[in-house]
Amino acid sequence: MNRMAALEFQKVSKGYRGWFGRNAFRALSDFSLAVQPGEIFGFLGPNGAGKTTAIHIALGLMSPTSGGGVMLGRPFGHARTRRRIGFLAENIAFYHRPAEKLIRIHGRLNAMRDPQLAQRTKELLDTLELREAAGKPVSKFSRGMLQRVGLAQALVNDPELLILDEPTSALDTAGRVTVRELLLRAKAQGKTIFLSSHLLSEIELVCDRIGILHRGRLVRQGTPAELLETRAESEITALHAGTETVTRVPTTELRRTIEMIWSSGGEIISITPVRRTLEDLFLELTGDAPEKSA
Amino acid sequence: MTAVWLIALNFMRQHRIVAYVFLAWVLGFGVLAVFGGFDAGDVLALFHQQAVYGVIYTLFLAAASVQSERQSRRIIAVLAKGIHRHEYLAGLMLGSVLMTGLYMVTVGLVNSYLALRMGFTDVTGIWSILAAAALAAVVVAAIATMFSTFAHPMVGTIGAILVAGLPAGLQALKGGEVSLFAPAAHVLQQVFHSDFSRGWAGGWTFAPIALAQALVFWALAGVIFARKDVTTAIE
Repeated sequence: MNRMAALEFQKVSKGYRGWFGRNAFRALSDFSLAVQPGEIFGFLGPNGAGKTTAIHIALGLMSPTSGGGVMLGRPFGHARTRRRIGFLAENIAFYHRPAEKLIRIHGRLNAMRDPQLAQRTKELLDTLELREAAGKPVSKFSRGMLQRVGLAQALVNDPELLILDEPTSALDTAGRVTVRELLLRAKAQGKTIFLSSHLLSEIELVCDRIGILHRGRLVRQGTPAELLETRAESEITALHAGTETVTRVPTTELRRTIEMIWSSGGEIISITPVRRTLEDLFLELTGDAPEKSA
Repeated sequence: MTAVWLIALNFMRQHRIVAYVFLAWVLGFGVLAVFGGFDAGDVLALFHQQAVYGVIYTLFLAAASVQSERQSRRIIAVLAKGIHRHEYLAGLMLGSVLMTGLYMVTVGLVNSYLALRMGFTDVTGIWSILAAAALAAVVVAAIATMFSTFAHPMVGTIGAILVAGLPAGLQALKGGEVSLFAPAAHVLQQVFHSDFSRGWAGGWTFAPIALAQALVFWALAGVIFARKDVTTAIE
């Protein structure tokens, strides 16, 4: 156990029971994970893996069947600690208020007051390109716009820990870039980010560490380098009689292959260690096809 | 306290259509009374009905309060903030009561106007009856909100009626006066013994009992709700 973790799940299990014990379902099984302060942690898993359940348990929206955890040094569900958290839910729903008022309401729910709240709201409206829509009720917003408002309400209290459940799912490419920049800026300010997503490319681009959840269990975690650069293969690009060829060989065969190319009069152009993609790893661990990024 | 107010005001906004319908109904009957030549007896009967409906209106609103917020998923963004569950429930309760208050004020204004037109010189009696009905609404809101933390709105409504009214109902069947310890039922019974001249006829001993019961049911609702999962996995 790491005492310094910003977010830590300790052997968390969560089961659901139907009537008379029918349709019993275990969403999480002995799930343990520690997210360190200042890192961006990517939380991956196919639909039904238990990602949202884990997040809701951390926020105190659900109780675990067993186990527990801490968030910013307090047990899960501690109400006042949530003032230091920003959370964006998947399929977010809000009061039908104009965007600016809604952001202010969420700031005030976290005990923020003017002039800080007014200043922060203004900044977020500009950063998330919501300025022109600030006076429009969010009930008239597209899903992408709603997602931006969701991000704004999550960021309004300048949180130490940001928990984002599919933050870019409804955004266009420009929106995704904005969010990515926001996350990197937040990280530079020393904030911790727990990012749940299906979008492997997003995760790979911004995350310091990645955890993969499958059927309620954490099946792998580590840095992208640890997870992806483990296959002992290399790719050799060679030029032979004016033709370029690419050959993938096990690293143990590398020397012999290079000598063969040279002895046959070929030239080596490059040798690159093969790095498997996150998608390969995800498929290997879960057997599910992840959503491709747009 | 800010959070409670914010939740209450937003709850009111979310249910404003229902409020408009009720207010239109009260104003419509006011217009009908003026132009339809209603006599004092008709207006009083209608007033009794409107006061009782105010309490029932609160019952329906509060019994569906938590469930409707859960179904809409608005509850997630709110409870992910730094507020306690009992504060959230206090907000919903206050929202229900404020909506009833708005309704009661409209009933009071319309009926005061009608009473003055009919020659009454003092309308304080109308407001005392409505104040008693509003206190009954507070108790009913607390009981119904408690049920809404775990029950479907229909089940919650029935449950709240049973808790608020059954002991009093049994007592009334035996021919006695409804106990002050069933304040909501006491008010509903006594409203019909009250009129514009005498005002509230049920005494005010029930008032502290009503407020104490509202606090107890709110606290109980908080304890129950703190143990409930707000969401189920959508995955």
